Amino acid sequence: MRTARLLKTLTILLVACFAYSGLSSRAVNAQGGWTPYDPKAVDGTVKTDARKEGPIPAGCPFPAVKDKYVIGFAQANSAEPWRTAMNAQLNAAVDALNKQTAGKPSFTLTIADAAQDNAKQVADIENFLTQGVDLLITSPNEASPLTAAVNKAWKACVPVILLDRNITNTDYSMFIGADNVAIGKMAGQSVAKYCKDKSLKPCNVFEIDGLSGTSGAVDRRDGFAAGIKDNPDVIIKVTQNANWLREKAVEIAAPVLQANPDLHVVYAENDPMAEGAYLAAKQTGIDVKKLLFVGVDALPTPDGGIVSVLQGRLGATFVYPTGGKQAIAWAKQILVDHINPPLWVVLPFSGVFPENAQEQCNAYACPLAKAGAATMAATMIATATK
Amino acid sequence: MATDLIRSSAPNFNRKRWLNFLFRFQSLFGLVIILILAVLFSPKPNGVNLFLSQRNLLNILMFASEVGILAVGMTLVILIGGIDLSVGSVMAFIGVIAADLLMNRHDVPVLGTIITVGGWSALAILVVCTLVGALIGFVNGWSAERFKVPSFVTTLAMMSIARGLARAWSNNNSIPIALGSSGEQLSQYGSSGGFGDPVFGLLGGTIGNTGLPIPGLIMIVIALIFGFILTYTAFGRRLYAAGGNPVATRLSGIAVGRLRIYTFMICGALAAIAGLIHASRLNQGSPNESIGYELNAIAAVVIGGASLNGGKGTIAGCIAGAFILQILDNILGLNSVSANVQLVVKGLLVILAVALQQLRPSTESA
Amino acid sequence: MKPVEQSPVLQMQGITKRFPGVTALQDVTFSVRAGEVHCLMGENGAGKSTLMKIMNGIYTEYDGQMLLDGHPVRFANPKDAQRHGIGMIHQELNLVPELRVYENILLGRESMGIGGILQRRKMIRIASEELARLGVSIDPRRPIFALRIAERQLVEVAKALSLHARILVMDEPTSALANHEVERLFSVIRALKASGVAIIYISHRMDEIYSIADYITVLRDGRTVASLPAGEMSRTQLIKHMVGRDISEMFQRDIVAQEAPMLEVRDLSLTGRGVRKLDHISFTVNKGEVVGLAGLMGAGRTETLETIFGGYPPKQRSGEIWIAGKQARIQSPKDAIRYGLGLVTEDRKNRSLVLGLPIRSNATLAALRDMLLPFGVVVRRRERTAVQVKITELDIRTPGIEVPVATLSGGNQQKVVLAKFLLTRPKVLLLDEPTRGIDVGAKAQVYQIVGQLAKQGTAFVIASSEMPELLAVCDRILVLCEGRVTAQFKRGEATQEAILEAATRFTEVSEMSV
Repeated sequence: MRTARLLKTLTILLVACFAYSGLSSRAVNAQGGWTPYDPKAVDGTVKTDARKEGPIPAGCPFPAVKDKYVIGFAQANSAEPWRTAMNAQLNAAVDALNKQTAGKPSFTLTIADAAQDNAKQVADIENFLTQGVDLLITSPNEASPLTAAVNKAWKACVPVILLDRNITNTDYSMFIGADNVAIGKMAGQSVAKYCKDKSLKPCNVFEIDGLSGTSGAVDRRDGFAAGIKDNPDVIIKVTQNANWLREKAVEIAAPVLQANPDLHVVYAENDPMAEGAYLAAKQTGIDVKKLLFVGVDALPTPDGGIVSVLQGRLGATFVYPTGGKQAIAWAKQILVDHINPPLWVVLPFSGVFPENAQEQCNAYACPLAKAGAATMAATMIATATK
Repeated sequence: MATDLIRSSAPNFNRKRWLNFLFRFQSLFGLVIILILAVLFSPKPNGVNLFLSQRNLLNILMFASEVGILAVGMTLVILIGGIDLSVGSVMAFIGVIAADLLMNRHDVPVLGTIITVGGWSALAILVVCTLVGALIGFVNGWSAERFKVPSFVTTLAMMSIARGLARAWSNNNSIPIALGSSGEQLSQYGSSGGFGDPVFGLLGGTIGNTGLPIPGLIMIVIALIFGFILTYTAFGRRLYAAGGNPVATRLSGIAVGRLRIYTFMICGALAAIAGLIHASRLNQGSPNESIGYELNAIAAVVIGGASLNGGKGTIAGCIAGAFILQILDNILGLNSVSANVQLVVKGLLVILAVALQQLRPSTESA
Repeated sequence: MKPVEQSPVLQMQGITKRFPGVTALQDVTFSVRAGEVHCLMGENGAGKSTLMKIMNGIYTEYDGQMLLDGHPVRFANPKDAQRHGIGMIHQELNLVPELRVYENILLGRESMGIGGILQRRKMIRIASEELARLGVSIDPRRPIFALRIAERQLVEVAKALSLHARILVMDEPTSALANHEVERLFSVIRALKASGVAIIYISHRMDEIYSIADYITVLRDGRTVASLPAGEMSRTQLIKHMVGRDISEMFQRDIVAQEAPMLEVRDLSLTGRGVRKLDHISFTVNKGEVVGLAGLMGAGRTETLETIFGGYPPKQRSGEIWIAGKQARIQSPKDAIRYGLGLVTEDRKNRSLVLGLPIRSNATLAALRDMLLPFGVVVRRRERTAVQVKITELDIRTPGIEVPVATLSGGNQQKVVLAKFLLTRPKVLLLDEPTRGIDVGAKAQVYQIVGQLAKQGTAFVIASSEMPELLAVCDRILVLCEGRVTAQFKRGEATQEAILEAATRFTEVSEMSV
């Protein structure tokens, strides 16, 4: 039909017209000098020093002085409890910052959730760029798929802070996270010690890994492997993947536990997966007292790792700070104070064992805290990482 | 006793004609409407319409391509009265195969000898993966015909099987793709044999400085080809007939069963192409990708005006549907609306599209 | 059969109904008395079904008025009409295929116990009674989809009768019934007559009308053309009123058969699910010959045609088929068409046409191969020309070839199906009930076409329950009973009685259960 063809042509023309209206590109201004950061004021340890030309590519203009700054955060998966805490901490930090600056300038934080979908996270970052955010924070779902998008933002002169998960190159402003290799190593060492104390020869470990393309999974696995070398009797008998998710862990742990009655340790790279394995064990009627469950995260929430250790489910976990507070602090320094941040900041962590679980609980105000029993050390940790 | 109502063209006849016209092009009208809404609701900082920015529109084209390609295959399958729930899993499976064969070399024992596979060129992988996709489609279609089971069931099973195969092949890992590399460890996030034909990157890349996404071009070419096939070839004609009335078509001498199998093979091959594009864009082949993409494809086809009973639908419609979905995502994202709301809106849109179909003036007579 | 002298129970006066572009009824008058069988006659498109739809509350907007027992009424919907005592048996059966007979008969009036639980035994009993009243022995527990069209129609009749209507409208109720079932239906109608029910009977079958009608009204082009007691209108007059022209020898044709056998069927047998449906059927059809297949419903006429055409899987059948002197291996309809066969099925809407597609696409569906360029591209121009030729040849009434085939009348749809197979230039055409649900004028046209094609050498096998038509058109008539050929008659030898006798030559002396 003639009218049909006409309509189709019209639509195509319309779309083509839109495609040719463009944004004017950013004018490139001369760049002044960045102020070096104050090493004493760094919350954590500096692993890699600041880039000479600054947190954004050479040839980029200084972040403009504004009344309102918009920060975009592309989260990998808000459904994970540790990341829910990260979101909460980011929001709290922004609120505190606004109170501090009394709104001059004011900061807005927008959080987009990719729900473990790489393509969605790429789209989220693209949208942030289109919206013109002043700074991008992101926790990439997996390294390879997100590298291009992060690089694109950085090359477009938007400062990028990576939280907890890394990409495959260094085209970003800074990386903030705890040392997952060290955590893995400490976990491995504590398992080695446990096995030696119990004279278990061989000591069979069931390892449950997180999403394989994430830096966290790789590092915690490598670290753990290094840590158990302390005790040559410790062997990793079975490895399975549960993508950081509790439900997945329940699913995959049940058959493994049943088929391997000679397991002694279950090492899961995060608490939800460890809890999932614990649930699976109970549901299949295995005597959980014979197994040591080790996780990572130690959130002070009712379903978190600290309570779990206190209640005797997990044998060990490690407080893994989210870095939300630090990220906002550095964001302000980059945008407002024009301070050149270090490229890699490592956050401290601590172990939670049955011996010190109550202390840790008090320090982080977990639901089973006993008032007034905090020690000096615990208070320091609390103020530094909360 | 039929009443030959729609015979003459008397003056007050136009209302029905216009309504028919509206419904025939419901998807194109829908696209225009949503474009207008998007322009209206776009954030306009400093008077610049973000939605209309070149970067944003190119993004839309890039992100719509995978669903668009899937939707073309899905349209064919739905036209003939079937459905393919396995395309998402097939995408993931093909992505894993492609990444592995691109980056690694394996020694496979076959019938006594050892054959080395892997490290192939992008073209070889393109051909092989498309064939694998077609093979999976064949299994989908053939099993439905042979066991007289609705394609819903066989493709549901394949959804599981393909996903399982993908996980098994990669051992649950994501296989990173680093093109043009040499040497072993590319990054600590995965090793590779160090191959990696840079041509593969073209599949997910853009044309030079223009920023025109190649996946978008691929989608347009595929849409044009299959649009032509459906309208102008005997194959297309028989598809519509078989979907509208398989018994009558069979009794007109057309092998309906074989036609169905071909259609599923095409759908599988297109899903493979979408999977290759996906892997190229994201630089990895992962068994956890493309979850739920089949639903997006089906939504696009339905919004495009196809009937799930078969016999009605166009390629232009499904591409319009794919764009409508993507523009929706985009405008909600630009306005920082929560992803959960996006899901709800998408579902409502599908219901709206199907409801509109019911309001269509019926062509059935007494 | 004298009409009861009473004031009419239902009167329709000055009824006018317009649709966009078409006036279906113009100032129509129609009345019926209690205890009267009133036949409403007219060609397709004359307005009969429109008038009935108004009476039934399906159409609510019209000019004119309806009087029930002398009081003006206007029905808001079919349920309203039903409540006023008007019952309708549609030609298109309103049954739910997935449900059982008793569930369909009592649809909406289910017997329910506490909490709405269905009282199945009671329902089955009621359904059995209704069916027994008709003299029909269908098991009420059978699902509808397992019944053939004729049986489903009987269920429809039972359903409508169970509504205890005062005025019962029957639209072509016997088009798929065998003679003895028709007789049974008529005795029920007579009983209803005696009890004061008015019956409006729409049918094309002349013989039936004259054996049951008290009054006949003829509509043509939306107007009342005649309304007389049946005794005062002769058959010729009736046809003249309906068609508006004098049709004397409607269906006669010349004998053109040659000596060359075109189709030879040898020992054709069909077994399905353990039941032998066809038993060693053999016959020959010569070039230019028209052979008729007569028999009761269920005798195997449709099965014979469909088996020849390859509609059944090869493992269910045995026997040989020879076409133009060569043995044909027919595994599917595709093969059949390749060998030069064509089949126009009984149920054209469901089995021969894709309703949503335009006439052009339907007509070329079997012959696409002749209209292609490389890569399978269809040459539209070749299509259009070919279809236009057929439309002129067959006199298909349509505004254009792009119109969806669903909008055509029954007769024109049938011609499109014919066109479809004619485009494959068949040597043998198999027609199954080709004139079912078609008006007189169109029927004549169909047989005219048959005659013309036979003259050109096409062989025909026509299965039909319209015995007068077979007698007039066919060179030879085969009679089937229980899947066997029981008699063969040459033209001029056969009579309706002889055919009926051969059709009821069962192996056991029991009535065929329906």
